[in-house]
Amino acid sequence: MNKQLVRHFVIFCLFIFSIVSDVIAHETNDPLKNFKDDAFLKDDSLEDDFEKKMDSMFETVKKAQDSVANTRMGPLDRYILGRSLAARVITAYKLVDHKDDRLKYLNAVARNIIMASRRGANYIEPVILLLDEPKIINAFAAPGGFIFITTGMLNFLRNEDELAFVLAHEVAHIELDHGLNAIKQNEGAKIFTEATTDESIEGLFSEFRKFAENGYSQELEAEADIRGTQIISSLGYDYNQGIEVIRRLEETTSQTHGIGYPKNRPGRLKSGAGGTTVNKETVTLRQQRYAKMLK
Amino acid sequence: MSICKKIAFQNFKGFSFSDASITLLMCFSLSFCPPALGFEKLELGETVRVACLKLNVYSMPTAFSEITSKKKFGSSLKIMELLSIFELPNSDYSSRKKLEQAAFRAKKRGKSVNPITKKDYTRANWVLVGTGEYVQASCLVNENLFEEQTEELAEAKVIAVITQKAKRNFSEEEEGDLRAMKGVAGKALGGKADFELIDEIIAKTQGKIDLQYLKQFRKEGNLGEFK
Repeated sequence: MNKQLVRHFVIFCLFIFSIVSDVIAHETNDPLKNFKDDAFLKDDSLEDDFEKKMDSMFETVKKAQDSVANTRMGPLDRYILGRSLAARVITAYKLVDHKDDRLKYLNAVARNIIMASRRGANYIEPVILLLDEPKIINAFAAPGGFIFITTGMLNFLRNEDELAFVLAHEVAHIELDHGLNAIKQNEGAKIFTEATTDESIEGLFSEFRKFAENGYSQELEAEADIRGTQIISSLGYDYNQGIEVIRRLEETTSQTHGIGYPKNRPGRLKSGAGGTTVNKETVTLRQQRYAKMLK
Repeated sequence: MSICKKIAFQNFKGFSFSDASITLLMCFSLSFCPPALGFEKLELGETVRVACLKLNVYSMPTAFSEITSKKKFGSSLKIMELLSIFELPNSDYSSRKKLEQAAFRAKKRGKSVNPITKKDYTRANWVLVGTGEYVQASCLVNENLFEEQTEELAEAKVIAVITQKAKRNFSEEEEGDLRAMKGVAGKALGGKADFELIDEIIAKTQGKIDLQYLKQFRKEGNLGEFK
């Protein structure tokens, strides 16, 4: 605690010293220094000028402070962010009716995965949406427990263990706060630049949504692969099925969730995730109920 | 305006703050800010608040054990034990990798660095809050963060994160931004937000979870507690 106080004091002293240096430098370079007359004493524009400069400096500092504070999110913040994104996703895709039998099955698989994750408890119960897009092979998630999967992905997958891997990979992105990290990194680069006035809220949300739908950086995708594998392994799914679905997804050129994946994803999973192998009978048992419910 | 103030202002006429001044003031200000956290850092003995609408209390530190009770939003809980400790991933700002990188940079600049302990880069997944009462940590926040858990503040925070031009005290202009977020059609693919529809969907999915069905589903698939 004392060390922290000393650190604050030193930084503060340096700041004061720096300001004094700025003032001295200014006075040395200003040919009108110490010019005082009646006109000056009556000139209120000087106050505005000073206040503008102070405002500008403190605005920059405040931006930096808020960038830190605003990325400290609680469950309600995550839900509000997820809901805002989900409200936009549902206008971009056709939705399967909530009474569709496939949704009951999907809910069971997804909820068990969420329960096994480190964000098993969210502000609200998880919301799983099936997007009626047979030509799009994709799944993605938004903070707060929103999961989206296309009918194209369901048709592409061969069994429940593959589905579990795909969903767990998305849950891992949420668990690890990848969306917020992506924003924060972007924020760090932009902190000293003024936000452009033509940047609409919708455009910015669209950018954030693209992360979720198109994939993150290679580092984050690799992390989600590994964490997803850990989640399904803890639940009892076969991680080899995850490797198989990655192999087939990589072969499929039409799939859209393919930006930013690391090279040799299956190899990385084998070496780094500590996945468990499950006997064939169990995988077949789950494959049967997958086929029954979805085909 | 007083003469003294005038003289002070004269000195600032045409004056611009150097980058060093701004950077130092920023460092000073940021050193008081809470760090960005993916997972809340919870302390043994600390009293925390439930920030989810409801939080299941389990008989064991696993979501596949028996639910013994539920806690409501705002409930206060005292942390008796931190369980299922895990290391933060490299992408997290408090991960071991990121902390070591920061320490390395600080050392390079000749600053003294506090040793990094396991506590700095690990978090708890489960928390013991009473005799045989376990809850998942993802719904627990400290008092400061709990105060920010209102819809109005959360919406403003989300906009701040998205637009990267945050202000804690909302001006009329920002209230306008809140309205705009809910109503303005965008130019991106499917950019229009339909909050009415998403709220309808959310409402239909809440409270419908059949825990017995989920348990049976796990049993039939040799999953979870039946694996």
